[in-house]
Amino acid sequence: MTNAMPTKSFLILLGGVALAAVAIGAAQMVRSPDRALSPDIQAVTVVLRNGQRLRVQTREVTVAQWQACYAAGQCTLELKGQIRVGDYPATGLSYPDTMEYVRWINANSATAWRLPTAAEWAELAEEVMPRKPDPIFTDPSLTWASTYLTQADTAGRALRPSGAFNTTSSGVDDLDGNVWEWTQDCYAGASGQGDKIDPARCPAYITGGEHEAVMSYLVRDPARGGCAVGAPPAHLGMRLVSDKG
Amino acid sequence: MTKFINPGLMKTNRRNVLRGSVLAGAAALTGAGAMARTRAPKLDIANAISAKLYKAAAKQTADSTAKPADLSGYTRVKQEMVAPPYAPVHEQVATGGPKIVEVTLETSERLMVVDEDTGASIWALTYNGSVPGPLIIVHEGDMVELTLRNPVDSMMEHNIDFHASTGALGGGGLTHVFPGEETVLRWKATKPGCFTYHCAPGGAMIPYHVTHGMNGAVMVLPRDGLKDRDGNPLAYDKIAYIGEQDYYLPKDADGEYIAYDVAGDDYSDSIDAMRTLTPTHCVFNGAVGAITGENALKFNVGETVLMVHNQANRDSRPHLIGGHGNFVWETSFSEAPLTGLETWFVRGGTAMAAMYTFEQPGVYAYVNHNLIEAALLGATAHFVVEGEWDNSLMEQVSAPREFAA
Repeated sequence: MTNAMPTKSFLILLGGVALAAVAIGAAQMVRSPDRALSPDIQAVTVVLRNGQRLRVQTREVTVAQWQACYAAGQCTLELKGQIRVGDYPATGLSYPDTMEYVRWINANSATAWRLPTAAEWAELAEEVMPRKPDPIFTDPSLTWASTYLTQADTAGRALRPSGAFNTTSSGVDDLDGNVWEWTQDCYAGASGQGDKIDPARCPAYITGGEHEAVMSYLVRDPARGGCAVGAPPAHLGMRLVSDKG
Repeated sequence: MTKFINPGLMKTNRRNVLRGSVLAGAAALTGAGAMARTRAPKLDIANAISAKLYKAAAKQTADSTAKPADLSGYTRVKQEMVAPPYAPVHEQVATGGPKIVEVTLETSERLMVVDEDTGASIWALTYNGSVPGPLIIVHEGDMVELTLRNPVDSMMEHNIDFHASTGALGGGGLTHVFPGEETVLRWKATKPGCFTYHCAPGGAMIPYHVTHGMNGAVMVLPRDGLKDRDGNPLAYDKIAYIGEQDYYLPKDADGEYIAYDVAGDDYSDSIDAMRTLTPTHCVFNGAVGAITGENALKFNVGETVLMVHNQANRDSRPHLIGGHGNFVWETSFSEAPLTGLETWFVRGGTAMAAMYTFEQPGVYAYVNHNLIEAALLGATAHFVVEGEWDNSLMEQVSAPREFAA
């Protein structure tokens, strides 16, 4: 808390008010990420099958955490009208939005947070993923249509408070929820050209969710409908991991 | 019209700047790899939206039951694309058997000035660098074999949906190309008429791409050419290919049009502007004045023009001021043309054709006869016609003069 003078004055005035509550409220006014909003507060260490130790946010970045970045002038997107502040995941995030948040968090953190890889995400989520549905078309000529989902996603589309969905045995919440999470994996086409793409110009990234999805880096709201896709994610959000397990 | 070329592998885009900062921190602390890794693609193009379901699809072992296309009897020809308002070299009445017409479209993202007066510009998403994309002309029964190429310096994925084609979302499901990729799609032109084509990469990206210029027209002529309702042949001397484009350009707090560094940077602002359903510009061939003044189309009295009008997104109502639509095909060439129209209708999401033979010299204005759109938003083109004035059709009997009250 580098810039907390107003908070301190406020605390002196209030005397016996519960310190934690005030600190959380005040955190939205300070420039640097407050510890109360730091990913570290709600994170667990998960050991992946390859022995890699990963520190994982137990929940997706919340509206309150996001708004602190916005209030600090480091995130462009304001989550307006989110009256359920604090309890809900931050959604409507594009890939550049997530990068703004990561930069802000890391600028003042001893821990280097990042988006998970698609493989990391898949392994984290494995045990809470629903059974894979059968493709609706099996003819190879129709693979372009086989992704179409005729069943609703089990999580529904209405946003629910953080923690409303399942928890893995490692203690990670909501991986099976209706917020798809950006991963750092670039998807650059089916032709094997992917490696040639400058990562800084990646046109689309893989997002983790009930079904893995590829989204253009620009998209904040994967609109329902349109004709070219089968089942777009309901919402787009983010969860941070770090290698400092 | 000023045009700037995409600055290619420009390093200073927003994502790069952001990622660079992140990288510096992350690498220093952990020695970890790049923040954004490029993963070898595992997904089928058309399944890009759902890897999980793709994996299910990948287990398919049965062969397709679809029979191979019989291409015997077809002759391969190449059609060189030309920029609008012009049409490619073609026959009005087909000679010989059916053809496989090979065309190439390149998805190019380029900064284009929409209105020189205000400096309003857009990172247009185009086929072959023009708005609209080039006109493709084939005959009923021909096949179009399209090579769709996305240059490596593109920011975005593109594809194409041909309204004239049958299946796979108009080919949209089979043509997703990422930067550095190309794909080839063959489809049969079974219905005669003018049809729009446009990019449709999914979700909100569909109207974003379409309102950034990524649309054009295919004309599928009857093999024996155009005819009136009695079956008499109708021929034209020239084609005027007009692509009407509604743009929704974001403005800043002062009402100035915002300039963006790279294609795609305007995405969020554009989505907000598009939601108003109120275009800031409605222009012919990409920019205000693209077919006026020095760019006006030129004809002679006695010449017949076929005006092919494409509007991929919203309705329009062209009117040729000082002339008419002698024969108008609003829907299909299988229908008898409407005759003697003052104004005709372009259903949003279609291309259509109107034919006129010039009877008087001078200047004609071809407008969207919502005159607000024509005069204030840009939807005006000019035709300059040379020839002999016909006093029997019109004569100024008396020049303006004072009259006694």
